[in-house]
Amino acid sequence: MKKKIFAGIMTAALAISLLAGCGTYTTSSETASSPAAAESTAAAPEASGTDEAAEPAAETADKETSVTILYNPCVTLNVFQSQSTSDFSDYYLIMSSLFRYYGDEIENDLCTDYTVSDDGLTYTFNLREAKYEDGSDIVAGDFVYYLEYSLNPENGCASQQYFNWISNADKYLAGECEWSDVGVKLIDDHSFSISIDQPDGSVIRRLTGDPIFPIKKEFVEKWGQELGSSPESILCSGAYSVVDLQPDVSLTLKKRDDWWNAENEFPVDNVFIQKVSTASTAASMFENGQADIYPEVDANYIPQLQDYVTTFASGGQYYVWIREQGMSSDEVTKVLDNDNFRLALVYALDRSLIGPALDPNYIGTNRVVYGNYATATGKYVEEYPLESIVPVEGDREKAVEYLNLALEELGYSDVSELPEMLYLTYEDDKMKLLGETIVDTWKQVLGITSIQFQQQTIGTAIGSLYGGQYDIFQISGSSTLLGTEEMSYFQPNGEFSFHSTNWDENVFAKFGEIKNYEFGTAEYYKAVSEAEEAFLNENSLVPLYDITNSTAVSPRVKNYMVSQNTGYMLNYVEIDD
Amino acid sequence: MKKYILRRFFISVFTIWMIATASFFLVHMLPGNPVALNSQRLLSQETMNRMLHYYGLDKPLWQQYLIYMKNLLHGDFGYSIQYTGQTVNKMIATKFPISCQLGMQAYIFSFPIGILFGIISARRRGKPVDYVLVALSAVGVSVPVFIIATVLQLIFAVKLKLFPVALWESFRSTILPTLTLSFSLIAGKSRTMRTLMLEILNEDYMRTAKAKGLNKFQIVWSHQIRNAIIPMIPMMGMEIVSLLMGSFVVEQIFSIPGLGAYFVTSIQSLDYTMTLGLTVFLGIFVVAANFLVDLLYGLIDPRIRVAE
Repeated sequence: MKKKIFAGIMTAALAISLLAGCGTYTTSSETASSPAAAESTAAAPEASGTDEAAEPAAETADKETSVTILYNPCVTLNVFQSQSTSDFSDYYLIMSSLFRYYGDEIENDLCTDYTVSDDGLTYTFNLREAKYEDGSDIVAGDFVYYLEYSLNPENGCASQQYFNWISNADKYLAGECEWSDVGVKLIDDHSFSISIDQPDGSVIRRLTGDPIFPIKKEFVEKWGQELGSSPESILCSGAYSVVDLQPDVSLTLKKRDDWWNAENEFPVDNVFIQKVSTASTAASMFENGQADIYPEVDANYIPQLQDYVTTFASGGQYYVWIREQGMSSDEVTKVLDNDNFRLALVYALDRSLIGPALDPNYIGTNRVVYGNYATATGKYVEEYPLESIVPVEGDREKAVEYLNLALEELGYSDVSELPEMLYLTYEDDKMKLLGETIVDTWKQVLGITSIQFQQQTIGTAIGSLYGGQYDIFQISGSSTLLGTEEMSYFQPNGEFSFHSTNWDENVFAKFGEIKNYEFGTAEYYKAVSEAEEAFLNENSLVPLYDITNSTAVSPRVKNYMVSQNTGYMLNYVEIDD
Repeated sequence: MKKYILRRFFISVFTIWMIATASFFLVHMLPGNPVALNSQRLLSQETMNRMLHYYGLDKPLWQQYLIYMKNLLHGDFGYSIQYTGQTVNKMIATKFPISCQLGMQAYIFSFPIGILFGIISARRRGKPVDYVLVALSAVGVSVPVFIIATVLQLIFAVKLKLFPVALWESFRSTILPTLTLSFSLIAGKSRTMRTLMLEILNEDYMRTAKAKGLNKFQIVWSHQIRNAIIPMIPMMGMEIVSLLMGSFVVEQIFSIPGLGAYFVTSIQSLDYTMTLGLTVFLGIFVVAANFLVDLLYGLIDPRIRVAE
């Protein structure tokens, strides 16, 4: 009998321990996890309320508009530690800054106007009156604090790298000077200044792409390490406030009526961003009406959803980096450093075919600025065509000619004498297909069999990239304008300068010239195109194709736009319910 | 019995320590850098070094191990590297109940149905109903869950609009994932039960029961079904645990915010703290379930204790 009782207790313990963790799913903030749920919550009369009280609530709910977007929500909303592009897409909705993008155009956000000193080294920003979601004022000191916290080496912020161009920021990061020496100065509650060491036309663009988010010191200190991890630990200054946050799963936002431009922009009341990893589920949710916007429609579902699909430039690009200073041996260095050899490799590729064959969202390109990049007067790539670069279709005959010239210059009698070279990329199905296609094309067109294709796990591959352990590297990245961000890595003191050790000095001179012109002017674009031409004629970084973004948009949502700079743009959408 | 329980308990504690230690060193042996890996922007080496210092990842491995074990003893799995600001404990506390609910719903639904189908199939061996159930269980075992899920979504959500396609918002939204997960479970249980029932038919005690003059119901219920279920008990613990942990595919298809997705992404992104926290947590869960099942089985079948 005792044994039976004990057996019963053990069975109960097993069941209880397994059931202990189970329960109805509620969010941490005990709020609805989707606008649909939010609406039903709002419409339901309060338990203690009267019918009269319930009616206005129902009316309000009827007027509220909601949009569900199937996209990757943020990983974290800690403004100092964010590195994911989806975090920055969400910041566009919940955080204000000095400037912001609408499409490719830069608009004033909290900055009403700015002045530049005569020597071009000091930018003074004047701010408008605006409030955080908690009703407190946004002041210039909050911008300065964001920079101070970001650049403090003790804080290990990911955001530190976005501002190391500010005067003395690098020294402060290295612990070689005081904060007071850094080129950031608070003037009063409504203005502050930033200084740089040499005139640079891209300052405003930098501050738009990598925004300074105002944040209160006491708020940061209150939340410490848990900043940005829950709706309570986020202080929104933008158009929306966070209602619920499930990192990398979902994000629920609600429109702020007290945002400075609430009357004119972001008309949707509730925004629900949900990650759906399975393409079939996402397509079914869109068809079923459970989702309104499905960005980055999987290629297999584009025909099924073609009536709703609009294609936007995503700003992403795939490249091949041919390392001029080969890592394997002096012999490889000699080969990769040969201009005609690199020309042979590039001319052998028909980039107009390779990309679309892999995915209809890929468009072959021979430019490092994406095809739809808009200037004030049109598309950059059309306004500034580059005649001298290798055409996107390539040319097989010319490829062979260049190869023969290279072999002659290098002293090889046959292509089979070329040394072994490593073509490296990270583990990914599309990367594999693309890499194998390219290596095979070189084999078919040029007869080169000594290029070995290899994939590594992403961590190892990135380690190899930083360690220079490759001869040719295939990677994806953003195709923003030259002269800033990524391209700066290739300059003589840049992160990847080893990659371009033997580049012609004229390339760097061209980069330097860009800084002399104000961003967005015709002179600026002309300088950019000259630098781009010089850059591409090195044939060391070879653009393969632009990635476009096919987005399915429900007919109830009008004027929706995707920007390569900020992600989804709900600024002026109209909801037709 | 006390000695048996104590021995099993110490073995369980030792197993958990082994899991924690082995996981720690294995995770740190993975190539790559969690800071670089989680960045979708190119970080300079200086920025990376400062971030590694901030997370304490620049300390010698043995120091990191001691800190990790100390925190572990206090039940603190630490902060996630990838999901900045989120503690692993909080992630487990909010996500595990979802995975648990899904797994338990599926198990509670599938266990009796699977057993029932197995009994019917065995009792009607060679009859049309047996062929139908055997065929269904063969389909259930062999068709992958993502096919079942997609078919259920298409029929019940897109065409009939009876349930939501995905997400985890209300009880209705849990029905399709529960059915998906149950499908193979019912099939598996049904096949196992049928086999066990048929094996028992030839046992001596069945002949004895018939010779004693017991009626059919008594023979089937008291001798055949009870004895067939006993071998399934030790499987229960691991089955439930694997259900709780192994529903990742279903969670992914239905966009359920359970623990599965975090487990996989934490490994891919080298989120050491999250990977270790989830491994140790699930390890404790497996060990605890096995401990309880061992005790339970020892009570039900005295031969086990004698052998021990």
